Amino acid sequence: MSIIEVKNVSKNFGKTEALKNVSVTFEPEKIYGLLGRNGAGKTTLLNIITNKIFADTGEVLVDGEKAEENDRAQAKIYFMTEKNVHPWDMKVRNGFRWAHEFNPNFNMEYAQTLAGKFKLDTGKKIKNLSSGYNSIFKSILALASGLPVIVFDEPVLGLDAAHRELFYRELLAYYSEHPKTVVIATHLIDEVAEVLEQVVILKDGKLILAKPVESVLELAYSVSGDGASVDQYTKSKNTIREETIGKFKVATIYQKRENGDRARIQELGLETTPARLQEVFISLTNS
Amino acid sequence: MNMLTKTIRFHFISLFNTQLIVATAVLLFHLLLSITLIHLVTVKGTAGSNDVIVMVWIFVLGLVVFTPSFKYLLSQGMSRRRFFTVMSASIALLAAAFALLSTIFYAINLKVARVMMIYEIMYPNHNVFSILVWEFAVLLFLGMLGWLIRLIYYQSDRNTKLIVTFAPFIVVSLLIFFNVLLDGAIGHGIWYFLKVVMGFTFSIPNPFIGAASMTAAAAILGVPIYLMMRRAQTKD
Repeated sequence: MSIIEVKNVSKNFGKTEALKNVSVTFEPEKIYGLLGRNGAGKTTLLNIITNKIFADTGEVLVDGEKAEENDRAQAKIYFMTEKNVHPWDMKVRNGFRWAHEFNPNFNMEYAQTLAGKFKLDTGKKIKNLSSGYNSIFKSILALASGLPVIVFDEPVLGLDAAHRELFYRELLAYYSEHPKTVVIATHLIDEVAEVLEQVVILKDGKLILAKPVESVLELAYSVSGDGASVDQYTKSKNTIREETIGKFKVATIYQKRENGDRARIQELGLETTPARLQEVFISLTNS
Repeated sequence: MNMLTKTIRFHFISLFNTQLIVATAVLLFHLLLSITLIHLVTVKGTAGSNDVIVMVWIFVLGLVVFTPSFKYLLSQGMSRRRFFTVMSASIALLAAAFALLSTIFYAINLKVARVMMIYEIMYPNHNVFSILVWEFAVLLFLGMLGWLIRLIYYQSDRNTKLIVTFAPFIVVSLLIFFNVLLDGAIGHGIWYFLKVVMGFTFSIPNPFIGAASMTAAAAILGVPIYLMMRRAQTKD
């Protein structure tokens, strides 16, 4: 069980402000989705948490200890990066072997089982793996790491639909047996939404949302129908997205429903549907 | 300690392995070539040096090994301070391995062909132990120098890289210019300094003074390496 606290972290790359005073807590044994558009600062935040780069200001704590340059704190986190970090001519089986050498918690048997399920050839050199199998190899290393915090950066990059489904299934199966803090940074929100318990959204380096998925979806809903009626309904609401096709209009609202809302929707002849996480994400990051 | 041995093993098995095999093969080829040439050519003389091969090799390894090692070991949760320790230890062990290798080949060469080492040119009075110690110190220095140069480039932006690339040419040109102006005083000073630190001021040049100086120089190179390592960040 490990808790990660990010406190007032900022990071600049030259003139680009990659992170602006971000504070967020990743609590133990929960699955987090770290979402944001390209360049929102997701990878920068993960790189700071895992000591790959340094924050300009602020700090990251792992179980109350500073994460920066701290072997003990970093020994609790496994970071599956988007990039390959293995020596260029290393074989997959040696990748497993060295993972076990450096991390005694690494479950070699489980890694071999997963390699079998994904049909990953462990005799192949890592540099010769396709982009999909490269992601699979790195995901296996993460899942079998046995560490209390597992961080995935684009874990399903290049994976076909069957492998993506298998990955999510294995992640949930492993998580249900061995609960851990899992952070998944991804663009494929609809797919990952089923798996997530908490969502953290970054926009232009700023934290704009950090809540349980359930409470986010509870607040978000869409109303559709005649444009004028939709406008009438949304007049006093926190509308995060609007789309008009001729006279037809759809509006996504992000606000707690009041008592009279249901009756009002019926009265105006509108239809209501629950919003998907991806819709909320697009709305929040576009607005 | 456990992590130190693991990391050194990782360096030797995953990063140095091919290089050690190739270096041994090149030394072997050099030996065969020396034997062939000396038996083909009737003129008495010596064949070229084999320790230059390992000197170039360890310098290049110092240049190229840092980035993959840094990326991988940081991904295993290692701090930069610990990385500095394990990388220095790995270079020292690699220097020892290469020193041993070149000394063994030198000993074999002496039996079958006449091959001069750089060491022999500098220190006429020698034995296998002094060769081993001196070669180790030089190789350690060159390995650290390779690492330092790579790190300077790794940490620099485009403009700093340009400055670092051209600075040695400018410095050497200025030294030559002022040396001429000062009637060779700078050249004499440098030469005297080198003679002292390499142990040439004794009636019989002392290789152990040279080895101690090279080891000290390697340790001095460790200071800027450590300072730069402390703030090094991974790059994609």
